[in-house]
Amino acid sequence: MTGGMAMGDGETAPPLVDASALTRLFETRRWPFGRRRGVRAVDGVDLSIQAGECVGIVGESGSGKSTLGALLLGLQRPSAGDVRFAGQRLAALTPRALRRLRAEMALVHQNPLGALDPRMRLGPQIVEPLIIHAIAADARERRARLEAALTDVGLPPAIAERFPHQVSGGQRQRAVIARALMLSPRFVVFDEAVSALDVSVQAQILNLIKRLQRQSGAAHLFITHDLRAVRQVADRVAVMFAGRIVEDGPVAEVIRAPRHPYTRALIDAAPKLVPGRRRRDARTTEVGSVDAGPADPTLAVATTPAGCAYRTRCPAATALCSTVRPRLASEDTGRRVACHHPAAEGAQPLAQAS
Amino acid sequence: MIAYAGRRLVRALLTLWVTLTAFFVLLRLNVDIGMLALNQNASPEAVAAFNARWGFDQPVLVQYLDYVRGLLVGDFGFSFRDSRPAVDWVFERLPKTLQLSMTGFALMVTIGVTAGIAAAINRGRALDRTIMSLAVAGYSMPSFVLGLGLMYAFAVFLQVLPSSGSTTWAHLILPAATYGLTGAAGVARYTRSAMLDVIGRPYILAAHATGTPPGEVITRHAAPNAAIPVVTFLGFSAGQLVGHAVIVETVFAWPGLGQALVTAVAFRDLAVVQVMVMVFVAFMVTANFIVDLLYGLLNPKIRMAGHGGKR
Repeated sequence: MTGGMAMGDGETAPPLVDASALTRLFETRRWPFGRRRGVRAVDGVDLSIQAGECVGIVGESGSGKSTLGALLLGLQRPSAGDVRFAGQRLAALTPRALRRLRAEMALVHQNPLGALDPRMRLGPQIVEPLIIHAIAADARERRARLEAALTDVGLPPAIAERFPHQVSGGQRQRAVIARALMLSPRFVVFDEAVSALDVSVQAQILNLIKRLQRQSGAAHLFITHDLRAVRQVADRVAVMFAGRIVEDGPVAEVIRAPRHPYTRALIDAAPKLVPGRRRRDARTTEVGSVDAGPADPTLAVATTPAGCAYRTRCPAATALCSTVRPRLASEDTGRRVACHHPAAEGAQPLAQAS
Repeated sequence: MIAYAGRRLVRALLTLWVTLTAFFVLLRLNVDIGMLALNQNASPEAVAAFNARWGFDQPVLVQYLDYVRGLLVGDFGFSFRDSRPAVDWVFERLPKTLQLSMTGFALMVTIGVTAGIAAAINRGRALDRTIMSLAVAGYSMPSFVLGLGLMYAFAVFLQVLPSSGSTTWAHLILPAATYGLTGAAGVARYTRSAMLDVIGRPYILAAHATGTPPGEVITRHAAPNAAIPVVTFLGFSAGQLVGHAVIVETVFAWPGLGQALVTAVAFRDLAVVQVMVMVFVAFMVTANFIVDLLYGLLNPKIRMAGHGGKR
């Protein structure tokens, strides 16, 4: 695994995908005299992704990671902030122009059975993007591109005649990936792309994703709650909590020495398969605390205008944390952390994820 | 696909035969048909003569075998009233009923499906609420109320359409509209919920993410998948097509099977009733057969069920 790209690279090459102060507010139903309530699913996120880079987004469910993916693809409109794709503001594009731009982006969804039309054979579904964007008009060329795509993702050509319910979960996800990559997109969002698969199949798909990225040089956003998956595919990881990025940096560094207490809790919560090493009780307690706090972002965000959203679950919280929201501050090591009391540089985490 | 169709066809014919037999036996159980067909004051001799003439003095099994033998050569029995073949009674009226119910059904499907899709796409907006309010109103209103309302509006008040009869195409408009609108309400509600279910699926999001224009997302993916439950619902409705037509026919004095059925039952005209039941059952069975075929076309899982596909 490479050490990941340093943040400083953004100064030399403009990022392919660039989000600034990105915010998405979901308003709950308003009754005539009721108070307006809302959930900030994504709250002031700054994130840029270079071509050829794979950025992992980790966080618990409800942390806003899937919404972030949808915003970066322009599938949802931001309530505030901007997404730029290759320099163009997505919000400024007409629906038509945005649809045309979609040829350069793709989404791989979490549930491969749901992501395929149950009525269509796999072949026609995989080549459908070509038809939609009027790229390969004649059937012969489509056939050739279909076969090339199937080979790329390691599927036998005969599978094109099958229906989604007739193939295995891993084959389905390969088909979804083949469809997503049909137009050679420059940016692909993988939203929990392997979470629904068997562990052994997960590893194969992760390797496939990694290989395809190296071949294509596309930018990937890999959304997951599984730190091991991130370690396997991502160069850089951003940890999200309650709609904000609380820490990011090169994936190996972040896992080796997490600076934010939430990142540390996530790492400690991940199952370790190193023989002879067992979790200490202290850590088990900390794992429990991940679930113990208010995971409901309504509570965490809407009702706490000030302070750090994580403070109610944080072992290091002080009075400062309940009054002042920590800003995501860059450190000279190419990492960013939003915490008033980050773990000291070089401090040993409770467990090493190796 | 052909094997699938073949299996369904055999099943459809079997259903028709079983229903016929059951109906035949039921009509002859415990009932002195002669007494019913003549009247309470008829002399026992007259009743016995009537029963002997029409064969009702024979055991049911013998009557049944006679009847089946007749069916095989195209003899469906005769009307008690004028001794004409029962089939003539039915078949001179069937075209009128088919004309009304087919037109009504086509209207029902067109209006219902269009309104349902429009409501689903505009979920929660004014258009959706308008369509759904109308659908609830249409669903709750008996068809004869709507029929009389339309008749008042267009025949009495505006005087642009005839109120009853069946001589011209203009006569068809009001009864068919009555039929279509009452049915469309249910179809619209069903279509809307089926569409909403499908629109929430990940493959729809995937189609949008590919840059598929919204209209094509509907025609390529959403509508074909939503069609399966809607077709089921339409199958049920098609089975009741003729039954519903009876009410509308009465309101608009449409000379179809509906009126003939009422008369035949009133006169205990056994052979005629039997043929009509056969027609209704055939209708129902055909509708189900078509639905089964459409299922196969719409849903590969069902089509494959016969050879190895998972159910």
